Amino acid sequence: MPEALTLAAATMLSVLFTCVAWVWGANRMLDLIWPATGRRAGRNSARAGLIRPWLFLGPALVFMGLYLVWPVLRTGWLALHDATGARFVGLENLRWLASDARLYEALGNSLAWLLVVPAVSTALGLIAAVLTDGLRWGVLARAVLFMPMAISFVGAAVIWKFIYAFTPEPAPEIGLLNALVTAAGGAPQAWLTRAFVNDLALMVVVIWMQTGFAMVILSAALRAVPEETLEAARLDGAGPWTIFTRIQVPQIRGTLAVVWTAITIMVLKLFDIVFVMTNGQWGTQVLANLIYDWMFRGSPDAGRGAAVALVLMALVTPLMIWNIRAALREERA
Amino acid sequence: MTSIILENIAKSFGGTRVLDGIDLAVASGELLVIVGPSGCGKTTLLRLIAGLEPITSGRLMIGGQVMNDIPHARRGIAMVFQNYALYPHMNVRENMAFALRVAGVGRDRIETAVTRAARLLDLEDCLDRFPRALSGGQRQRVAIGRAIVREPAVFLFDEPLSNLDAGLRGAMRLEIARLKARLSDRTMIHVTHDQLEAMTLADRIVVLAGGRIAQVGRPLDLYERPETEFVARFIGSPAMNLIPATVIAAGAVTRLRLATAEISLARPTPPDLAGAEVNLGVRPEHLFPSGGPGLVAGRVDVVEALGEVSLIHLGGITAKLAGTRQDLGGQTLRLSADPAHLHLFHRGRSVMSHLPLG
Amino acid sequence: MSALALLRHLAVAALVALWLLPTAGLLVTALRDPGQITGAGWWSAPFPATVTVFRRLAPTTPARADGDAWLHEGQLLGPDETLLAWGLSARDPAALAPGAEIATRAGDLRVAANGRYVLRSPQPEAAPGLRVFLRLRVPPRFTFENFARVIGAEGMGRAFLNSLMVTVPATVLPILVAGFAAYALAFMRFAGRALIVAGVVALLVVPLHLTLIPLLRLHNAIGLGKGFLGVWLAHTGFGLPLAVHLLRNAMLALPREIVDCARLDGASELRIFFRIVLPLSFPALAAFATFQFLWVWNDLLVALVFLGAGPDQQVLTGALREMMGARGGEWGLLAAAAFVAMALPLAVFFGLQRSLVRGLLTGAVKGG
Repeated sequence: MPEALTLAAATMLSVLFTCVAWVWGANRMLDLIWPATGRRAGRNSARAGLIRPWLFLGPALVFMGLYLVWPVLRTGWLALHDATGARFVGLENLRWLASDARLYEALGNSLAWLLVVPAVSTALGLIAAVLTDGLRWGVLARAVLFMPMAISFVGAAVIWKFIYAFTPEPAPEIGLLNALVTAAGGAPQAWLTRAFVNDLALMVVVIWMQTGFAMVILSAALRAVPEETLEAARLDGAGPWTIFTRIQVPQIRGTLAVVWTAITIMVLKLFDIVFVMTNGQWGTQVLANLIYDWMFRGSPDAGRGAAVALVLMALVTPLMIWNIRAALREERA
Repeated sequence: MTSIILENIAKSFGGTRVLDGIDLAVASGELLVIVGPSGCGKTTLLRLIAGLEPITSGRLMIGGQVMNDIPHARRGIAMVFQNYALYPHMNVRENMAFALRVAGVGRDRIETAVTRAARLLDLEDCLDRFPRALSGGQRQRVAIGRAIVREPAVFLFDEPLSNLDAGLRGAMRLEIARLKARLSDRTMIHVTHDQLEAMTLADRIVVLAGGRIAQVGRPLDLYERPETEFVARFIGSPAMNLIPATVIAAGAVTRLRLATAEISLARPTPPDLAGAEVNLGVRPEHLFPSGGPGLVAGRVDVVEALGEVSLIHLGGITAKLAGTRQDLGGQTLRLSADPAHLHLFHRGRSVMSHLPLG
Repeated sequence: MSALALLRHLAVAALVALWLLPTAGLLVTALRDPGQITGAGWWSAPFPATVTVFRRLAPTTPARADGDAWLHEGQLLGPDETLLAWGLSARDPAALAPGAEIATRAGDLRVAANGRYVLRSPQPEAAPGLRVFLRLRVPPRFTFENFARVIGAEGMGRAFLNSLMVTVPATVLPILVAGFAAYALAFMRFAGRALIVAGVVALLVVPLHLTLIPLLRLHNAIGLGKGFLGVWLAHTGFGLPLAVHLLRNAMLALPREIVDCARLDGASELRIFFRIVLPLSFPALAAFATFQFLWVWNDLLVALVFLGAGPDQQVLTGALREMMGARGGEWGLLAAAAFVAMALPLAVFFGLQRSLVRGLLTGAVKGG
């Protein structure tokens, strides 16, 4: 442990020091090479101005390039190679992928996730935002709904696995869900091993975790709706429901889209919950877990893993483009 | 020594040209006020001079040196911003000392400069307070103080008073006038959309419209001899009345046909103007009721009694009459004016020579 | 209160209950006596539980002679325990009522309702090892035993330190690197700025799965292998797009004139960054730090790939996952372990909730 602590301190200090030293030193160099004085002051400072932004950007660009851009491109290249990355196999992996039943299972599940989770989370978040707004104990209620945000997926998996726990009869059921089922006269179920039901069970966990996120953002958006528009509608005789559907929701449509997309992206990349709760068994496989399986489990095949990863990338790309366009529109404005 | 010369300056953002063909010479020690409606490019012009925006084309000279590419810090300019731009995490003393500290000035000299500026602006009691604890007027004075301590050759004011309420604005206007009197060797450029500010402070006024200079001149010049309809209506409140007219005869004597009558003016117009549709301009304060046919006639719609004067509205024409004239409401009135106070505009430009100023 | 308002209170209460119950159940379970957990659901934890146990006869006093036989006496119940039934075999542990008598291989045994027993045996020494099954009603018992065990023997204590070890540098490192970049993107004008902004936004949503193999191979190739240094660098890289995006948005929200004014005051870009912009962006820095802290602390994937699996490197999420496999049915331990893993992020969450919300609203949207 002591060596590790020393390593931590040394790493933090050296990276921070290097970063500051670089920006400071490089700025000084610029001022020395092209001083903003003398006869050529104008031209010099114009030249230094061209370079200076890149000094500030440098460290971040290096990190992002090395840890995000390069490996993504490299993974694309790996997809064209065999298990160890030694032999070029062209489109072989993609051809294999096209006929792989597990891929279609994962794709099917991912599609179901995409249809259910963002919609339910956003809707519940909107309902929670509206209901808690202006309530005296609303702050408290919002804190409770938002709390799962702080919990890891693994922690949430333990929490919910306990809810779904199954004990064969005659011992008493200690899982809340089965206790309720038996109290209602039903037979207890092993929820996580029954196909289709287990998908829903996993989705509930993610909805439980994401609703608070949706609520917080939508709640801020609702509060940003000008009070005058609501008052005007009230004077026009509109009831609470009409005000909600005709005045409030249309004004926060943009935020709804943002929340929806964010949860969609999260769902596409969903890994931990499935990995920990079922590990993709009993028909719960999703893309991210399938990739992990190919890359690190059993007899790893980097080529096939990379090929599945490309499928995930392809699914994320439209949302990425949507994000970029939104950002560029803002940048121009 | 610190004159400012702009030669054919233009500025584009993306494909939009916001300033075009700006030629302007500001004399050393002059207080120049730039006025214009919002969006006319007046703040952009100020930012070009300060070096906060690059100049698209043209030449900027300050104190005889070309400044286009010189960084802001070396232009010897201080600027006071509309929203004050005080550093929120520094107290008043640190705010005023910041520039000097950057320049590496010694502690004692900073202290002297800050104290002097604080005394000048009556800020001695709030030197240790933070901006959020100051009133609007105090913040504005700190912003000015921050500019003063640097002893710049050129002061730029970007609508410094427009965030203040009306009463405070009047007081601060006086303050700036006093400041100018005390620092008479410094060049100042003041941007505003408030014509009252322009008229009272300026040595000369520049009227900007649509990214171009509409007219430059001394305040009363602009009031009495506007070269364009735009300037005529922009300077003076309420705005100058424009009465449609047809030119019957042009030349040494001008004859006009109005809705009410035909009038003759002993002032020359270009001979080729005969037959043109023109606007006859007359300021509300120059109209008075008359027995004759007058310039306009009509029923009074509304009388706005302001106490000292009354504004009489009839058919789109406004007249400013002394005293309380609510008795005129609903009456039919004929209004006339001294020919010396009439202006004539054809296609937006003044076409009748003005009488020499008295 | 109108009916509508009442309905609203009820609906919110229902939502809150639904959100609180799962966590509350686990917390109660973590604090229960391990022997009681499987006997009854956590919701009955405040009430006495019925449990079945076996205990061996251990006479407390020397045997008394009674004719040709010897009487061995003792107590089978602990304090607060009530005997419901008893028996001699695991197959039928509740065959006999309190006070009943039965012949055993060691002699006749009678167990009274108060737990005292008498064994009438032909020998003066009691037969060793005679087991008696008891069905007992026991009062609810809460204990920190589970926590003590997971923190010590199960290694969650060490894993907690490892998590801290990973999280702190991974939270600190991106801030300054991102700060410089955000400053350039917010306040400097240069060709290609829009492109970089778009790139940052794009990287925000890249699935980390696509980076794992090349990076792992890179770390191995340059001798970094699996370890803390590698995981710090990886988290720094992965956290940067969010950091740049968030800080830039926060900087754009500062009044532009403040920076303009500092420039006219002659300050260099570096001085403006450190003296003006960085202090004024402090709320955004705090928001990002909160985010990155939660993200790194709760991460499983990056730790799985870039850290070794030994106890000297394993973090809480990894350890917890391993326990789920190894100790699947032992809910007391699992629950306690989960709460050890959740304690710090929950404390951070409730302490810095406002900062977190501000961060979200500044445009922080990220998944794995």
